[in-house]
Amino acid sequence: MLFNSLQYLVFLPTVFLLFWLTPHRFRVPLLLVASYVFYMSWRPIYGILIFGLTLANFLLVPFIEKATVNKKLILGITVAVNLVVLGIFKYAYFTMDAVKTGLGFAGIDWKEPHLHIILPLGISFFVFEFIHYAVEVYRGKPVVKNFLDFALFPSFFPTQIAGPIKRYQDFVPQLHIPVKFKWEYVDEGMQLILMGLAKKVLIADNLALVVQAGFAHPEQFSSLDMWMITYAFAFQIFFDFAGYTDIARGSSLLFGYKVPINFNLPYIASNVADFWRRWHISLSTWLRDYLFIPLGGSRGGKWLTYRNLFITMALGGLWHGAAFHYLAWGAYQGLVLILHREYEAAMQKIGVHEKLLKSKVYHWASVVFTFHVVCIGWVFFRADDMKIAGQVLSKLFEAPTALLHFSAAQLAVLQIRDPIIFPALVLILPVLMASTFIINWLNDKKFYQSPPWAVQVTVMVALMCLLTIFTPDSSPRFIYFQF
Amino acid sequence: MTAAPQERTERRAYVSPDLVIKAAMDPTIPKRRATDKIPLLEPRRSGMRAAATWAILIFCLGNFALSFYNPIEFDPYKYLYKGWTWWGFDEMKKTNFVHNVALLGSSLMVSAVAGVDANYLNKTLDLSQYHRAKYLDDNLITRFGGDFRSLNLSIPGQMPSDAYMTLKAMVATANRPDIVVYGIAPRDFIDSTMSSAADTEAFRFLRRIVNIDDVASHVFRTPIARLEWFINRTFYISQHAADFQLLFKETTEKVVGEIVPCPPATTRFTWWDRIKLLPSYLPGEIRPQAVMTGPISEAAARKRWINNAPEYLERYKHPDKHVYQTQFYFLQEIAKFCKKERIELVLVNMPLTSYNIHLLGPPRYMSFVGDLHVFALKNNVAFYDMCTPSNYSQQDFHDSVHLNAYGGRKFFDQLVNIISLSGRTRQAFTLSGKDLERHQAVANTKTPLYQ
Repeated sequence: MLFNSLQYLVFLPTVFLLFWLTPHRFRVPLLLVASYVFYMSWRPIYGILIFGLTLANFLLVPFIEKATVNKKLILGITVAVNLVVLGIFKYAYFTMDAVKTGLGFAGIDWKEPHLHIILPLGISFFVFEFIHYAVEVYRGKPVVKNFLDFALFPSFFPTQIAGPIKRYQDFVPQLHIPVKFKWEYVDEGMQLILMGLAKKVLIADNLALVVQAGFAHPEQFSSLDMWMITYAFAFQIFFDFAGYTDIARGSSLLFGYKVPINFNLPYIASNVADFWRRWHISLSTWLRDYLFIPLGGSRGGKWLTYRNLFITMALGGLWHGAAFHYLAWGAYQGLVLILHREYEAAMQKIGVHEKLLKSKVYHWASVVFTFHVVCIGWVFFRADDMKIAGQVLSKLFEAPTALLHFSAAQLAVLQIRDPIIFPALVLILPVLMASTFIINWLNDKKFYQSPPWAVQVTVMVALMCLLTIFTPDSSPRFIYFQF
Repeated sequence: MTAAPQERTERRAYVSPDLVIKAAMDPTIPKRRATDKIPLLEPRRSGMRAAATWAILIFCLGNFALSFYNPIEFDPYKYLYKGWTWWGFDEMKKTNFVHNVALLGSSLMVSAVAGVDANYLNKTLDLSQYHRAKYLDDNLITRFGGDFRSLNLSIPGQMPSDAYMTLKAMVATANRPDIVVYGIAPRDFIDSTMSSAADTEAFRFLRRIVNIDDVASHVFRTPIARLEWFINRTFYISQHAADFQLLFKETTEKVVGEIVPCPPATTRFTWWDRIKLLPSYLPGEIRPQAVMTGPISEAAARKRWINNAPEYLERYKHPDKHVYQTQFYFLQEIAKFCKKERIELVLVNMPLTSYNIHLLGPPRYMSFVGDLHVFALKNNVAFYDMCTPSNYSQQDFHDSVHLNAYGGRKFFDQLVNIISLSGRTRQAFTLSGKDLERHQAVANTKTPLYQ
């Protein structure tokens, strides 16, 4: 069941009504049943998988709490159980391919077995939630004693498929609170859901057309076209995933539950470290807490820190998908984070005037530079393989020469008039970029905290009309569903 | 306000201090105290309540009001998605000719008509623009006298549900034919790759012209599909979503064209370039000169053979009993509709290669033909089984199901022959031919009566 489907439009209000009509003590079982119905509507057999993992973690983790000796070993076993399941379902083909290629270099022709594995939706997300739970208990946090509460934590349907990755300390206590119905839940929840759908259907899906064409046939586009297509992908993935997150958060709010935010205007980040504080926050904080810090974090000196940073980001890339281009994307992120640290250290060493570093010109130049560094990374992420990534990147790096001899006739996107989104990019991309700054400015003015009632209603009605016209039901599924 | 609600909620304190967590998870502490400590939502300004409920209410009432007043008169022929059916009806609307015979069927009929006519007229035919069956018409005129003008509304993948909609739309737009020749084959009923009856291009376009309330329960199988149908007919905006999309597209094209004009270039970006660049964008849409059929010599036609066995293995893989029954239901509806409108229905089982029947499986094929016979008897429909492998060799086909130009000529010759052998169809065709000839003569009279 997809968020942008009619099934969900029926499912969500039904669960919402039942939830608020049900006494508090039955709400968790109700949501649990609803979440399993939601998950099993795709492939019923995988309901067993999520249930099995839940049971295994529920039974194993209390041993970590109770253990006085071998605590680390039990934690290791628990984490291994989760990672093995993830490995089998997500990385089996990738590993076999890598082994086959390796053996091929050695002159051995290995016929890999054909496995009929279909990646269960959301497995990367709930496995990370289980690992977080085990590690937190190991660090001294209390275990969840009630199985139903624990079972709802990974399976909660709004966040089940593509996060945000929750923290049990934040989520489980909310289940204990006998929340009373408030209109604010519906207002905020609905606004988030409508905004999420609009981001997905009206923006991301239209940009997807350009991106799809550009990355499938980079040879047909000029260097400047490819830059525009890369910008388009930067906004497509942001609006697609932020749209999903909005719907997830809005759906949770309808039941009075809050789940973490995932984005905070990432494209106004002034450096890559800042970008990762604003992009997919629930994942980046998870990586920091359960990978970077356990690896040693920043405690072992400069080179060890860089090693940890690189490993964390490379594995974070691989988490997105079992393919070399995702690994390359992660490695690139690790590399630019290291370079950023080196740059900061160099600036301090040289003793660049603090006034310059704090000036607005420097800040906005950094924002523009960071955006382009991130965009180059998106090429690895979006390309179907490393060969295409290479083709696109070589096109991108031809831009300075192309700019020297610039003419509008160079731009293939201006020649394509059907679909009209191609030439419209020239107008849409600056608007999307400007909207980020406007939202930031409105944020500062605290506009969002007290929107006039009439504005709220008008915007919601307008969005309902637009979404009805542009039928979200026929829109493709969210990008992050594949992870 | 709503431009980025995630930022808004982020600004509200979302804290979960350990103390509060422990309190919430500790059974000895009353839960209401824990509630106070976790700020789920900050109190909001009074007067802002239930904005979502009001928005839903306004949206629903607005839609009902628009349905009553119907402020914009949309043209059902102005449609975003120009598929085979759209082009057929577009020509019918533009030409204003009276057609006394309508041809319906899938690509098996399309291929037979196009091949034979391209050779007969000795010219290349653009199938988005050409919807006649000249060879058949002339053959009918020779055999039955009078005048014949056929309209070929067969389209690739046409199922009985599409054929029903097509026929109903012809009558609804004052283009009632006297006779319908409907060529069918097992794949119109047994096709694993077949989409739901409501998902075809023909169905989506024709529901703008035809009321489908009477068949809705058979078209929309699942409760969700039925709900979607209900929403589409109840909510004005949903009902006219395609019109609004077209309006939006035209406006955007105009605005973008003004602000960002197309720079001069050595080569123009064509529809074909678009197909290569975005193969999954508007699949099935065709444009003029997209599908052309030219004259072909007998030797070349007989030599040409495309192996489409893998495609048909896939199509025949998992026959869906419900789809089979649904499509037979629509065949029944076609028969009922023809009876009501006094249209003579001629049902033809299209020729297939024995190889294709083997792919389907002889028992399945026999069951299909048996069902057709029972259907024809029950509904008193003229049914001609032309699928006789003894009459057609592999050289009459250009793959396992589609007749080539020479196979097509053989098919139409035999069809006209069979029609003339049966008293019922002979009479129907003779009367129809004479009728059209008489009406044409009256219409062509140049001297006004009052002179």
